[in-house]
Amino acid sequence: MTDLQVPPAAQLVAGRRALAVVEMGRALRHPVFLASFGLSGLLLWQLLNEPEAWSTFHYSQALMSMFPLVAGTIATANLISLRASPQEVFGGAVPLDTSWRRQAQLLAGIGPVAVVAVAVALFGLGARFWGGDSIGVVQPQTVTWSAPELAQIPLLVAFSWAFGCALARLVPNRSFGLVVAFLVGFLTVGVAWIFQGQPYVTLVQVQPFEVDLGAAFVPDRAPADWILLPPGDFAEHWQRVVVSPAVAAGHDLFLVGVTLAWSAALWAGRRRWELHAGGVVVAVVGVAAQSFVGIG
Amino acid sequence: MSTDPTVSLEGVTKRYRGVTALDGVSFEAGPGIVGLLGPNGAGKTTLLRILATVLRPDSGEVRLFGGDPGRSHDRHGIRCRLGYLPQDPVLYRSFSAFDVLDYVGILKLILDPDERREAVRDALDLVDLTDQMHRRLRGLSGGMLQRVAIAAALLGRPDLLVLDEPANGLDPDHRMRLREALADRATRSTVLVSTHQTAEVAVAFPRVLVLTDGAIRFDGPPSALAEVARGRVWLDERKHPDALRSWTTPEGAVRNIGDPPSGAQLAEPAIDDGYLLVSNATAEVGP
Repeated sequence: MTDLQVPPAAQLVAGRRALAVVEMGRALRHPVFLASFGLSGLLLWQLLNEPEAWSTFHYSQALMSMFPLVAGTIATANLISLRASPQEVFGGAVPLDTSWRRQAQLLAGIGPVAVVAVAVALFGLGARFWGGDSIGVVQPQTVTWSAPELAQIPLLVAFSWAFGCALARLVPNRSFGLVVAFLVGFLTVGVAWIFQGQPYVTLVQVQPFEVDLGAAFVPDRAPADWILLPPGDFAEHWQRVVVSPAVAAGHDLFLVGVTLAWSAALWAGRRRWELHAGGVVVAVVGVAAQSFVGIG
Repeated sequence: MSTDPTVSLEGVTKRYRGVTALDGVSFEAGPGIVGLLGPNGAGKTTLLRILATVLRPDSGEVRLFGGDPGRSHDRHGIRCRLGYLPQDPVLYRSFSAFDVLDYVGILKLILDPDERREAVRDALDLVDLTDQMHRRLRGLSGGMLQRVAIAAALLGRPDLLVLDEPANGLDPDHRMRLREALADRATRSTVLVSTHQTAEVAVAFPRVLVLTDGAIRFDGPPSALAEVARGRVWLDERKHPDALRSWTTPEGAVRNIGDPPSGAQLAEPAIDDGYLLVSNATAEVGP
């Protein structure tokens, strides 16, 4: 017989929420996050003020300027999540134990994601207000980034946050986390063009797509709404330039799935596998949706 | 209401890669202060980590508030009533003392912001850090950091306090304040404190356990620990070859501990003498 009173689940949930709010505030004031956010904004501003090196230069390269933001978000999440390590002060000897704290730190990512979402929404509105970007050489069109394309950026931040938290859980080492943050940011965003051969499953999907029309293509017979690029230094044949909000939406779903799958590492037991399996299913549905819509 | 002792251990054993850290430790404790003495590597930190529910024994039974910390359900209840100071507390250097304690307050499920703020101020006041509470930890001295960690352990007035060498790095004034704070808590809480300072034990702890090679060799009041050495301490002009330990006193005499030769000039035993005898014993020494 004991006189122990176990805290009700509602109290633990309230504790997780209170901790998430504290961690969110610290995340938003974290110098690494603030610096990476500012640096990405600066890179984007510089890019848009550069002359177009090729016809889709501004439109396609805008995403690459998010490299500091992705790396910085992974690093910030990692540094904050290391606080949940069992070795940390009182880590194991408090009622809101390590697993609850990890979840709170994951939820704290809502703050950075919301801030980036607002910034991206303002950018999208600005792009519409100031006029879009002219892409294509033959039958060029002025286009602006669609909502699903813009949504990719806050979703990338959500993925980065979940990945940074999961990394702290799997390898609780500050230096390792910082190196991985840089590498993941650089490889998946900084040089995202390397992976555009598989645009449905790459972390960053760069639009517009350029579809090779083959040697037999006659531009005069192309439909009037096609945007075209003539053969040049990088392409042997005529190419069709495609901006597809529908494919971008499918890719967004893929990103949500991948984020959920990584988040699973922060739960324990059956819930972890449920979340992981759920994430994988959502990601597969996202890829299937992109395939179904298709690029061209 | 249960009448179980707060802490009850029976035959607790813990090994690390073949090395026995605890070897069949048994004792009980209720409200009051219990000092834990022992040489380096005696198993004190292992024992305290088990009591703090962050380490599980290999065998034996641990009961805290009558609950089994090995069971998830009980462990949660125990942790709601526990304050733990690890030997090397890791603190967040970018936080202020107030922020650290506020953070720990949430971890201890003190969720009402006003109540938490009050508890944090109380704890900081106990360790005399109220005027430094908004300074970042990276700007505080080692002693101040230790006081922040102590305040975090005291936060929320836990019923069981497990403190691993809390006086480390504290100046005499703050050691005194700590002693006072623990004495105040001990009227209704169980306080387990490990230390190397026998002088501290003599004045601050009504009960002392001496742990050597993972086993408890003595359990009793500090005065009884000194009494263990009665008739086994003598002064001489030189170190005696058969003495267990010998050292030169500030007055220039040599103090020997062990079995005195006939005609030896016996000295009044101190707690240090008893501790040295007990910690070199191979079996439990009764008070």
